[in-house]
Amino acid sequence: MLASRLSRRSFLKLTAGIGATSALAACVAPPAQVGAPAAAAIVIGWARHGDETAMGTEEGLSALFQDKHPNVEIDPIVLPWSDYNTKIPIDIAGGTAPDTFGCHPALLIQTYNAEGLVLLDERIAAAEPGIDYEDVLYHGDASFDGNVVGLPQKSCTHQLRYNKDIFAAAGLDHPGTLFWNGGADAWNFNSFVEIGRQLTQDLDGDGETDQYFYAGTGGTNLLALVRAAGGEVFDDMIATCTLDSQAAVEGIAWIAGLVTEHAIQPPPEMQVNELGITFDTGRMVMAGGTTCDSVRNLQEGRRLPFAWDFVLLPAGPQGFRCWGDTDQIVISSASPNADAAFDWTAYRSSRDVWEEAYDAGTTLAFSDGPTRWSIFESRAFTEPLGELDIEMIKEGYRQTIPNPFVPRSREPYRVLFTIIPTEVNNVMRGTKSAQEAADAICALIESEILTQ
Amino acid sequence: MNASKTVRGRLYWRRTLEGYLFIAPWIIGFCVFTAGALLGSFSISLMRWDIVGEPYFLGAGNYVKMLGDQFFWKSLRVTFVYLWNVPLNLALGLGLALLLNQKIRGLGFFRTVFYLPSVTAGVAVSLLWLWIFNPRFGVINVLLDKVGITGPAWLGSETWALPALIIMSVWGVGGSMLIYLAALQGIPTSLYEAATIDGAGHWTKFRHITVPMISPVLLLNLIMGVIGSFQVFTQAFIMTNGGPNYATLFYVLYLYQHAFQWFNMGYASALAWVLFVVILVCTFLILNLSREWVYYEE
Repeated sequence: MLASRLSRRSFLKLTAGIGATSALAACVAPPAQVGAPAAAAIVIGWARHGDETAMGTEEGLSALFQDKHPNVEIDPIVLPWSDYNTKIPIDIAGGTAPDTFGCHPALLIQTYNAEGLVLLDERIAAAEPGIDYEDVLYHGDASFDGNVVGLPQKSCTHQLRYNKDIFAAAGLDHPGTLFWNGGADAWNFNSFVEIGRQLTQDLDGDGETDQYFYAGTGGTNLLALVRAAGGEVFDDMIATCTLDSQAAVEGIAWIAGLVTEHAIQPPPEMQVNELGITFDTGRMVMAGGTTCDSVRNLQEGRRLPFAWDFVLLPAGPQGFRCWGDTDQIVISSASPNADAAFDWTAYRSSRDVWEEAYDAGTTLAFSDGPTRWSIFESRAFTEPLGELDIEMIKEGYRQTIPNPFVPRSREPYRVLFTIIPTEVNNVMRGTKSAQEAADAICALIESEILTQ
Repeated sequence: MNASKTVRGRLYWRRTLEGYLFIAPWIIGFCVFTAGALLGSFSISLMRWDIVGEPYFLGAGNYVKMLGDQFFWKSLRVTFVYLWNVPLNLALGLGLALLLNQKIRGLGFFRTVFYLPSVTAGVAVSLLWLWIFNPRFGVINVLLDKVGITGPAWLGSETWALPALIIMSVWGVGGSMLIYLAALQGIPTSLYEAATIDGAGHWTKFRHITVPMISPVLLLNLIMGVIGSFQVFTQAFIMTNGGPNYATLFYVLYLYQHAFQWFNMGYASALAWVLFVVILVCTFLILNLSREWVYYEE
């Protein structure tokens, strides 16, 4: 019955044979390419972060560029945010960074300090066709020590999105109207709370709130509101935490009061999104959003079932404060083809690419915020975003104070996304006073950031 | 005698060689993919390195810094408190295995149902438990409300967030249950029959036959449970991100934040090595103490 049983010796022989065959198979030289072009094209790597649709966009833009530069091939790679922030730094460290890649402000300063970037001033001055650098948004984001190290790929401001239908149904002027008609006198901390009280509602009468006015505990919104109240994270030298100043503490108290005093924002432990109370379901009147990512909701298949628009965060005692930043396209100092890489960088950052892509069926307005002031007037921006208040979006860019600490502080995103939100959350949950939270923030920044 | 010795010697070496050949794929994999990374991480732990820039040699600086790092101690404490899930899971796993070791109808179905959760992806389980712990409509608070108890805010509460994650760990009890079940079925029935003849009751048989006979498996589950608890990450990352107010800042989550959010790769590597030592010491202690209570058949 067991005549065909495999002996241990046979098994080992078989295993060794399969292993050796596999190893030899793996070592076989690849077949020679038949009909390969005699002169290989210059290949320029291009990496950016983005969602699944961004790869199609980049391939389309690469094709447009290659039509103009037949000897250059763009090799795009698109990674999700978290993967991008692991892979690209490791590539930079290993000297294998793509020729061109997108840099958010924190990565930009790291790469600059590591001498991983090509300086662009001379190339910008000598560029053909010329580059109108005055037209570029947020000069400060790409300039270190007087050197320009990148051209913008994507600029965003963080504003509030609001549900126009809810305002109309309640017979209230919507925030955009208040802003344009009255500025800081009409759209401010006080009117925000007053309107919020009217629009936070128990829709089904069961004693529980089903529609909240505002959701916005993200670090950028928190900081913009604290700044609007007159607070700031650091002093000018980034040497002292100033969030424990009276103005900053009052800002934190006002933010927390939206939950604890006015109840127009859900408490952090409520997990209201699981109750279907979100901006997208029409049961959150206002929510934070960026002017370059949130506009995806204007695309077919992603449209929301109600009318909506952007407005600046309400003005505090110091007026309006917006948070905005730019992802820059940079050229790796390890690139062997810096000239071709610059040609691609200049094209990818230009207004031309917006318009040529739009004509070819790719709408950059749905994925990248404007990189030039003139793009606000381009039909590649105005046609797809025409139902929104484009002047309001532009106003956000005007009101944005260049980011004073992200490029200059250690671990800026720890400050922005962990330390500050955790302590503000404590005030919202009632476990700390605003002063205690501010003191804790400064103590942590002192011990974890400044003295390291 | 000499010829016999030679044959035995050749047989010994041949078997040794065969043994190494059988485990060669793992050894090669370990050397190529793990050992190098291990040694590399130790050297990184002696440096300050943000990945992009040049590494700066600190010596033991990262390890010294840990002593004064409040979040290091906090995360260590949170992780040690989470160890309460181990006895909970040991007891529940054994209880379930005892129940599913009975001869009842639909046994296969019940075994599958109890095991199924432990093969579900961690992220999916975390999202499911977010619903279960929802303070307003989560099933736990709804049931508590039915008996007149106002449930806590669970994941939104500094006091309850960690106990909530300990309760949630019961979800994966099916894995240890299956191992217990295999062990229970390996106990010779003659032992129970002899005990029954001697007049032993259920508890006595459990205490003096079942527990000693499955004690090696108890030890295995204990060690695996402790190691797994030190490595908890997914739940905290998905459900609480370490909050509220760092109440669920598990050690590995803190390590991840330093490595991949704040790019302090040197400090993160040092944290990883300290975790390795902590796990090693705990495992060593458990193994040493096991001599007192684990029974191995001769």
